[in-house]
Amino acid sequence: MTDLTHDNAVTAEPASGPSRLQQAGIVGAVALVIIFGAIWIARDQGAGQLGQGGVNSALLPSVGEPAPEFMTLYADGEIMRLSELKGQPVWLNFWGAWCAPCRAEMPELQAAWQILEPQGVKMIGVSLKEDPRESVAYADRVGATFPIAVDPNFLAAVADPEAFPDLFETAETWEIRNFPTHVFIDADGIVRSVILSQMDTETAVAEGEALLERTGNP
Amino acid sequence: MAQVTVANGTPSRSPVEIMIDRIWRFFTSVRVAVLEITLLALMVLLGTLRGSDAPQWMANAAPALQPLVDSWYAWDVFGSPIFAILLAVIAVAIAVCTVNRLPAIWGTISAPRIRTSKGYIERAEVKASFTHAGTLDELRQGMESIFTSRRYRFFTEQVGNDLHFYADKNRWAKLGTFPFHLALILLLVGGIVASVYGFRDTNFAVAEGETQSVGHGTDLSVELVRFTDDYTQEGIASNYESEVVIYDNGQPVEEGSISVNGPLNHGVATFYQGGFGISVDLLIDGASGRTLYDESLEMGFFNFRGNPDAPAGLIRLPSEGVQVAVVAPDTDRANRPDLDTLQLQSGQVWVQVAPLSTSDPDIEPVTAVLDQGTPLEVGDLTLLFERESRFTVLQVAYNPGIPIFFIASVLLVGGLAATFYFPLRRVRGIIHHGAGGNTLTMTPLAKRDWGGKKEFFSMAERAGERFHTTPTIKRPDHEGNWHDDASQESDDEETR
Amino acid sequence: METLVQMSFYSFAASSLALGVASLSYMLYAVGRVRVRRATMTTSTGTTVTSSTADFLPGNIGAGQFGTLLTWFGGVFAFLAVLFRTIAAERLPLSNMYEFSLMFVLAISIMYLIFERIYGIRHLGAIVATIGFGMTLYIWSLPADLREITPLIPALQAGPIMTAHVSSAIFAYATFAVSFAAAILYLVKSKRNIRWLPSLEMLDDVAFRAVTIGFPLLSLVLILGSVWAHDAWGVYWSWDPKETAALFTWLVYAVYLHTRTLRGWRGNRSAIILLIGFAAVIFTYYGNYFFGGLHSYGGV
Repeated sequence: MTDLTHDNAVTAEPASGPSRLQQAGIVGAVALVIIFGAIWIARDQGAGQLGQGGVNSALLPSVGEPAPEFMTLYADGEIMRLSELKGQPVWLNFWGAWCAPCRAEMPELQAAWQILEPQGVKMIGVSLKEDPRESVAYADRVGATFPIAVDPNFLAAVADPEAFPDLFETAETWEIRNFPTHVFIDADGIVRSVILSQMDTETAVAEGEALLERTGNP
Repeated sequence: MAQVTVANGTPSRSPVEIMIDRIWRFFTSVRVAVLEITLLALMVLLGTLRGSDAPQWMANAAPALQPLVDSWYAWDVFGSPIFAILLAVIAVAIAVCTVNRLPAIWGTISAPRIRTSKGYIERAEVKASFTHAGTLDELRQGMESIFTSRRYRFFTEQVGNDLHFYADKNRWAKLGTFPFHLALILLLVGGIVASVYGFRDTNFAVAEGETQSVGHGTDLSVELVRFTDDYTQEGIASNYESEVVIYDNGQPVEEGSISVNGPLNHGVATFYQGGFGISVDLLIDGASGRTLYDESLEMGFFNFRGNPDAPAGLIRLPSEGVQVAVVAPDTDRANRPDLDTLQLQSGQVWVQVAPLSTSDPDIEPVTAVLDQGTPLEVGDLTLLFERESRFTVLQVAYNPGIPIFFIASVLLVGGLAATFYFPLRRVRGIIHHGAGGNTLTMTPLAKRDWGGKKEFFSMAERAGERFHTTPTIKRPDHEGNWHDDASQESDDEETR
Repeated sequence: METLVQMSFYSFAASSLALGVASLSYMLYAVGRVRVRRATMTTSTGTTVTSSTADFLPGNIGAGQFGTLLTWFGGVFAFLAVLFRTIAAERLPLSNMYEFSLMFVLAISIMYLIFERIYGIRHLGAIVATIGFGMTLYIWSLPADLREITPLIPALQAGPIMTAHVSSAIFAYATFAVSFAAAILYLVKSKRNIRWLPSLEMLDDVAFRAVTIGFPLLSLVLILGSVWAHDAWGVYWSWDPKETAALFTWLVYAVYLHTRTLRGWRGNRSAIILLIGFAAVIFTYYGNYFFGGLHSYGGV
């Protein structure tokens, strides 16, 4: 091979280097040092916490799994516990009067509730991220008559953690970030579907009736 | 510049000819071309920085620059006439340069000069030579096979007692610069065609269940059957999709869905999914009880002074001579009380019924707050805020420049690839028939082509092996170091 | 899923570490050293004559070879980081600054090693490996939530065209980094004729070859970008800041190519244009920090 560079220094590499075995040893040793160094640095930088957010995370209860306890107050002050509703299909709607898509679907939900309620589906509109009085005022104004429950976080700010441990758990286990979110739970307390968008009456009724069909035929 | 005319020895030329000549020279000058590109780059930089805070940082550092920075922010660089003129000048320069360079390049390709001069080879910075004791024919055939094995063409010409040869490869790639530059002109043409003959409507809003006409000289209208959106549990949108029916002259002609990155095309118009918005379903009855308006009013395309941040819409009722402004609650509570003077609750809208013509000051605007589901008389009208709904925001565009754009894209990428990845390589040589045998001397035309030299040396060595000799190879001086010397411009024998 | 994301992160850490040490090794190699040999001879007349000869050598040949080995590791681990993340996300990691910076580390390692192999010079590594290492430091500095895989927003769900557009950009920028390194060495070598650096002609050629790869790629970026823009936004070109910044970069390299091939510019002036070009690349890459516009996703 012609030396085109005429750069003698460049080609002045030693003629006899380490043997093949020695080379493999060096490569292996360097690889080990890098790998262990990397593990140490990455641990220090919080690699252990990775994979908990994003698409790998589960903010909401998974479909097919039992729904965790949900405890809060209804707008009229009564205590609501998801566990106490077992035996009846439940449709939880997470909304807020501040959320425009939630407001746009409100008449559809009201109509669906009027169909499903006589059939035995319990629908609860849990208002989040706002003063419950605003939610109630809005519901009254637009004629939404389904039961409204209060943001557990709103209560957790004032309640006694000793007296209502499940209230504080609810605030942590049910981390709702998308509005509106709908969770359909069957009579056995198993989550059957999670809908992360606005629904029309037709879709909501279909979801509710699917829960009713499951009741009694697991 | 009269001397130029004299110096050219054509004093009889008319001023028009001189003018044309100057313009031609202006556009063919590489110096001017580089200047044009540099100027364009600077304008693009100014236009880009305008979209950032960088000019303001400059003004903060040197307050004296503030007026300059203000006018910089105010200057729409890409919409300015100067920018358009510069683009036009560049387009003309590209066209003129192409016409100017084509014959010479074509000549190199179709009829390369085989004959060279002894002096040229002697003076060459890089060359190789060796003497072969066998016959001339042997040497010629051997060289030909070395060159052809590397995909070179090989030509010879007998000049007196000597045989001159010329070899080249990738000659067609030399043409690559033309499709590339033609593509640039086509891109500009495509842009002009699109803006002159096409249309683009970025805020084409259709509420669910309603139909909107496209306009722009078409008879198309679009009905939104259903808008669906999906989100992740984090509340990040994962899909927007509009199910639509397209009507032509009132007849349904196409059903389909439009999503982000999934446009729907019908006839000249193409529909793209934008976002969505919230509309207010309103029922307006006139004094006679006649229904004047029963539609969904798309909010957000109108700003109301009472709260410029709140979504608002405007309905014109020419038959009554009034317009109805509708303002929904401001979702940003931080705007209270200064920006949000209306302070509406969810489930309310604020309306103002005002005369349509501003020249009619007799009718005072009437305002009211409507509660959802409760009809209210406002002035002569009865208004009912039925509910809130959603509407889809589409873009409608007709771009007749698309075929031009696609042709240009192919030419651009193909031209560049040909130019850079198949470089023209040339070698010249003379085989001198002497007493001690045939002496071959050859040189590559590779002034700034390291790879070309490398290939040349390797072929020279290959020739040495074939003819059982060690060629004398002259390599670049100064270990390939050169002085930064602009006088070396166009030093290559055939570079244009 | 979780483990794949973590394994990708560990691989990235390994790549970062390897490139950091590679950068140091290459620097040791590139700074060079002067070895003075003294020879003492006794002449027949009984006097002693001492003669000195100075050898100019690359700093440490072993360090250079070590640098190459570590750059290979940097590239392989970057590849693993990309691979694990691709499997976890079921798409190439190109959606936020963390992801495409990771791809950039892979691209710059590949492009550098190709040039090192073809030209047989290691001096560029002192600059290119440092740029790669600098990019990994930038990745470390990014908010930790970008390390998570998040679903694509609708505008980015363009499959093949998005992949082609963003990866062309990354490889274009990586090759421009190589030409930047060659330009720097060129300027150093032409200022002081340092013997152990590669010849000016070779450095000039490295820079030019890198641009001839980067420039068509950047053209492809602009074209694919406008095809995609046409599908997503309904318009080919909207004078968006990221678009115009890329156009500016493209024009700077166009000036370089015209002056070099048509006006015969070479040497210092060409090298300086390449420095401006790479500054434009950095400006385009980090443009999201300076301006909003349609490209304002990617987590910054």
